[in-house]
Amino acid sequence: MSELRFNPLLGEWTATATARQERTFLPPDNYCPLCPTVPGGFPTEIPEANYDIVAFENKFSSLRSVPETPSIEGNEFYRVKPSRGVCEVVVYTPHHGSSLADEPVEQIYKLVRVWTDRFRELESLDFVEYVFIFENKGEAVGVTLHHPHGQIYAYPFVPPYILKELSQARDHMETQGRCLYCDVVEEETRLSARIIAENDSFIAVIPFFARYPYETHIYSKRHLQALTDLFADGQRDLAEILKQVLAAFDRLFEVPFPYIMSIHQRPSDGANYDFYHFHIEFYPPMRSKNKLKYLAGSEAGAGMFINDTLPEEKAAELRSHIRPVSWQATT
Amino acid sequence: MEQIEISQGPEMHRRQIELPDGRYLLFFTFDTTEDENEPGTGSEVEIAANT
Repeated sequence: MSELRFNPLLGEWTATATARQERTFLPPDNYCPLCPTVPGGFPTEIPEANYDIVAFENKFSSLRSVPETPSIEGNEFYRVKPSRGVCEVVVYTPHHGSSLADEPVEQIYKLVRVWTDRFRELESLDFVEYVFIFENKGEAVGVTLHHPHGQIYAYPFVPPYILKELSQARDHMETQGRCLYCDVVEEETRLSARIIAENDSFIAVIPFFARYPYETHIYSKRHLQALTDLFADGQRDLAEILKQVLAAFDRLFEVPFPYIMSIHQRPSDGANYDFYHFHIEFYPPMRSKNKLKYLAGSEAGAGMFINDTLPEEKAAELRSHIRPVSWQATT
Repeated sequence: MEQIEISQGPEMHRRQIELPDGRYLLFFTFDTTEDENEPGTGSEVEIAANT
């Protein structure tokens, strides 16, 4: 059963999605549902022997374009509505043992193109108000399939975290006359201590206000609102800085580094968001080689993050693992 | 399973199929030619009319 239930205490929607309890959980490598279907093998989600990048509707979806009837009737106080939206899985590569960090920059560039395509198409649906592209990597953040993949949720509303960012960015534009994110880029560039990597189009930093030890943000240097605003050279620069940051993550502790990757773009509800700014946020849960940062009392109960480290020190550490990226072919 | 040709762009090609349970699946493939430096060129796929 699936529906949206409104939380009047926080003014937020929660999705129930009981079918997700049955989703495939850490299958053995030879039964991966995201691998190609090989002759004589078991049928995976992808019914062909090879592919480059694929996207498909999630089998265990919490939002559907034709949603189920809610399991419970709402009222004016406890509002309920069908879980209308779209959930897609984006499989980055047919190589099961790979990761986005391991893939060549050419493949990441292709993925940027696919993300752009999916953003453009999903935002055109009349019931979609926000297209959220993300990746959960590693069991530490709850991954149930190790095959390299990300997800896209097309929500029927603008989600709370984005609403908060929009509110701050709108206030800054109204009071200062400038883009909040452009000012962050300017300040991080002026101080330089927290910069991880940089190219003509993007800058990667552990920001002044990082909540996680290795929380990394990638900001567009150009003031733009969505992937669809990127020029071709910007798409390549985004692939390049993603490759640099992700590979540096894996070099940090010489382990596949877990993270949540969150791509923040303007909403798709038709309103004007010129004051907002495209960026990507990474929330890695590791705080050292053998320790995780948990969202505990202050973080989960009060929304107040406590970072056990200094962003300037962690940025220097991560920056030391940045390597140049080379393109093998013209793409 | 029905095979539906959806897109032919200058660089990125998109092919859509319908899975047995009715969900869609999109295959993306890429040419190696340079694209033009215009915004959103990565998504300039056109929905073909043969669906």
